[in-house]
Amino acid sequence: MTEFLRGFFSQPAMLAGLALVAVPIIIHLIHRQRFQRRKWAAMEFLLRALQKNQRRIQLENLLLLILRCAVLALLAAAMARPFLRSRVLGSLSDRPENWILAIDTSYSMEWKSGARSLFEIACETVTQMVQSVIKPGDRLAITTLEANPQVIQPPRQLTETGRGEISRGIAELKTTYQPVNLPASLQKILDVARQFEPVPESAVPLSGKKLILFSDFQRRDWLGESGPKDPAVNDLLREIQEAGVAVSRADLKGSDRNLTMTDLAMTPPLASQEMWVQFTATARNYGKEDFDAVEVIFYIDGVEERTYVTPVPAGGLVSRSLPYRFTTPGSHTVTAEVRGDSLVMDNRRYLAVGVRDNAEVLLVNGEPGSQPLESETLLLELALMPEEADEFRQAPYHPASRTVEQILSDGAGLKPYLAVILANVSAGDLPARFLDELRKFVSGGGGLLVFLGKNVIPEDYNQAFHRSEDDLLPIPLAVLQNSDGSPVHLRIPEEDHPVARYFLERREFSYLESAAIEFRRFFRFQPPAEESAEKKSPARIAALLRFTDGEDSLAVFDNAYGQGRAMWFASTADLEWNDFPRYPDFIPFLHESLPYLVRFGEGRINLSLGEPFRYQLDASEFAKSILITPPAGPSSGAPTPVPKELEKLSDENRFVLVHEETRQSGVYQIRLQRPAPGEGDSPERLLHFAVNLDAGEGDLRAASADELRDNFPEFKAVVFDAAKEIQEIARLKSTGGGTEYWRHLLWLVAALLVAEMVLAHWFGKGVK
Amino acid sequence: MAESQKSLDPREYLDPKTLAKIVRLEVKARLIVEGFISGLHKSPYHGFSVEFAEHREYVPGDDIRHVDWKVFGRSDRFYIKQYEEETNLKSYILLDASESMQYGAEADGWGGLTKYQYGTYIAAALSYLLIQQQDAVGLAIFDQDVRTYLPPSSSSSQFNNLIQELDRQQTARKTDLGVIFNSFADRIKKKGLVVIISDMFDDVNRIRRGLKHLRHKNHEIILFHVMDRDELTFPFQRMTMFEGLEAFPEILVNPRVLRAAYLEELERFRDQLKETCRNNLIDYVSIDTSQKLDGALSSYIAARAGRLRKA
Repeated sequence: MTEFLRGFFSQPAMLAGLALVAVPIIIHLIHRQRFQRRKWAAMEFLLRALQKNQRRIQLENLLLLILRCAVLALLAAAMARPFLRSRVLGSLSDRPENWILAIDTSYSMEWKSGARSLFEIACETVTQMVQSVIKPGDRLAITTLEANPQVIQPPRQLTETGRGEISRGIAELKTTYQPVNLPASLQKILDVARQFEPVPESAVPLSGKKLILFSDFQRRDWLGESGPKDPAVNDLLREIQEAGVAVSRADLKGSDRNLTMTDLAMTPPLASQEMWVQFTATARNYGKEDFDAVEVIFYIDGVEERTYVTPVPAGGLVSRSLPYRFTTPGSHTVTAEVRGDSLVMDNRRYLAVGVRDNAEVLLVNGEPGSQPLESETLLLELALMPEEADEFRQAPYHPASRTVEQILSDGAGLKPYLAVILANVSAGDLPARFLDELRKFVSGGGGLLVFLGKNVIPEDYNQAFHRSEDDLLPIPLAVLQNSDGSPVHLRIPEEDHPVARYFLERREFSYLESAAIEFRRFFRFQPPAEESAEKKSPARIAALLRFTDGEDSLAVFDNAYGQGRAMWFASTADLEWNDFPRYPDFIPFLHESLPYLVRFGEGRINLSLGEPFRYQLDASEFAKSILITPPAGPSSGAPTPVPKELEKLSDENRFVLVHEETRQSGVYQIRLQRPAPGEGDSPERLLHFAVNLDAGEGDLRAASADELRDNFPEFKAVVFDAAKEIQEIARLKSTGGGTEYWRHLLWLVAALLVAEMVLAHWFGKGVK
Repeated sequence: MAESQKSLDPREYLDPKTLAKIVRLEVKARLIVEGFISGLHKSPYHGFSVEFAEHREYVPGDDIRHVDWKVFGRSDRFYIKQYEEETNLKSYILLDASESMQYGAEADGWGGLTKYQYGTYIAAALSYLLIQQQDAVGLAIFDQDVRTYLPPSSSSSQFNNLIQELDRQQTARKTDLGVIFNSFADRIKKKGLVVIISDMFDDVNRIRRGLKHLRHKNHEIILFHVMDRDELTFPFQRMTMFEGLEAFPEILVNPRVLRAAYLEELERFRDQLKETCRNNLIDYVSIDTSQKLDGALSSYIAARAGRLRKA
């Protein structure tokens, strides 16, 4: 009990003085016993007066008695030296206390309430606490709630001089463009909480630790779609509380009224000069209120190109498309912006587009045939051929069918090509020099698509392409499978594949999985006995299609190789072994697969937040000076260019540019200064890459107290009304109360005494 | 009652200072006994004239028929020939001797007179005055019943009889003013001057009915409402057990908190009483027992004189 009282009073023994409360009652009782007797004649008036006023007199007597008791009780309480103890802030006594303040820096905190964002409010509140609530001698740690949680201030005793330093640290905090990684953030808090123990030099036992979470408690971070987003959160919360931490929630009340630009896509995914493409921007209204007029604006290379005005219903999506034709090759940027709400951070999406001056695809014809119609690559050419008559042509490719001999003889190499397609090429025809160049081509970002056929001898192919599991063919080619009697068909497997996704979304219109497409012959890539082991092995193998042969044999798969990808098709590119090229799905298969292979090959220039940027350059592209200019932040000024250096790849005459600081969404500009440009070449080359944040963070709905309680039974947090608490403490301090408030009690006692006297006089007015 | 007051000369009740003031003022009977108006009556003291008593200076309102023109001729001043009225005035002094009249402040300028004692002083003074003027004075001392009744008489022994009765009378019983006044209204056949000396602690409606009855018999009434200073101001501070007189229960109260309410009740009662008097043409004289006796009487006589002149 005494220990409990010590949490509220410096001198709890003085509370014995509360017994003084009995004094007025005893006096009252004695007073009633000690009276004078008086015969009285005018009794009738006295009785009548008493009758009319008895209730009032009783109330007045009771009020006076309460006042007198209260005076003595407060006097005793003041002597016990009480100190302020709110539910969250705890005591304001001189005892040292431990604080952990965690600030949510996810971008949803950029939601503005008036002139200030929730994040600014959180930082100001924490600064105020450091300045005026947390006293020297207390120990304080500050962490962030974010994707990569930071410790802004490790547990350390606060000093007067330290206050300014911490405040400056808080002032430098910025929102992170990313959702909160709750498990990681709570783990960081737990680690910090454990660093508090113990202080040997302090004779006074440390009181518990107080954790205040300054967050908007975004439902998405805590609950995901339904239920706890991560079950580990509950365990972490329990561990934190078991570590002696009392948790409080400083709910920063935002609004779910928010528009988010959720997607910006280009169709087709590859653009070349003078080719029409279409940009489609999709905005979502996450709130419960309709937006009547929302501007959707497209910017090309930073210049406003088109503005659409459209309503967006509550919870609805709106898409607007912009047809566009790039007139110059090179690196371009597209930005789509939605306007109309107060959280601007998620209102833009960015797209970096590498516009090629050509998009030639080399078709290596393994079986030219005597007649053009017998050519192995005929159907590939037809599928990739641009329709020149159509101004709004959508296909960027220029297929060039060559035999191996022709390629080797013209000596141009593979550099001019976007992708290489081998169609029934005999490995024996491929000299080692070509294979080396092909490896460099793919490793440097080119796309390779291999169709098999009767010219393919598995042993030769394995020798040529499967020198190891890290080669262009990561699993060996096995045997030819004849299924003439009972042809097999294609099946989209469960594995998620970007190209398969295209067909899945159009499943009802697609022939891909129909029985009409027959495969009479195909190669197995792996003996069936070993296939299960293979499935577990290289993660970079992505199965696009499998056969319905009862063994789930791979029909199409791809794998990463350096910066590029190689895709393997288990059958022929013509109708010799299968009917696939006969069906319309063959065209989108090629048109979706090539950009997929090449997009990876170009280096990923459209990244998610935090994803590192890697870009390979040939020796001929070497730049002596490289400056990367990040996008301007929401509250910062002009960005500062960051100098970078190229790293040489071992054993190759190639370089790689790496930039890992991609925690801000927007367009990053890379300026490459070339040492000795060729004739006609610009000494400077510009590249861009775009970083986009997770659009889901735009769903600003907050997890309610009930939802938190139901989903995290271990989360026993009280609500912390920061503004109110700080205001109250500031008020107490400004009135000279210091950290204790016994002076206030004495003032209260004085006030009650005055009140008692005034009331006693008032009640007994007319006293002679 | 104090021991010393019992054995003293009846004149003790008549403060000489008070009487001196009274004799300088005129007491004139307001009511003229039916069928017996002679204008002036013989003065037993002045001897030389059965009509003329003394001169006094003219004051506005005097009947100019009584101006002594001879004196005016000599002195250029108007003098009024003052005649003593032939009196057939009978005065009845009704003195309340109920238990409530036994209340008296313990410390005041008059040595702790009870209301009853004070009332006997007033009664004696008025009796002496009236008998001096050959008026007949009667006395009734009552509580809930008439305890003593001396019929009116102007004989010289009447005063002594009155004094003896006043001195002797002590009661401690309840009062019922309505019944008493009704009883007197029926008992007194001739018009007269009824002087009531009482604290009037009774139901105001019954008092009203009794007074009306008296007035209905055409009696002139003067009401001396005698109150103790304590009763008028309720000055007590300490917790007090008030023991009710006249069979009221005792109550323990803090006088300070009840003072305002008590005074309000008292004032309401007095207002009702005054209103009753005003409506019935009764002279109401509030007497505070802490006041000097002469002050109380002379203020009454003055008021009375003024009223007679106006009549």
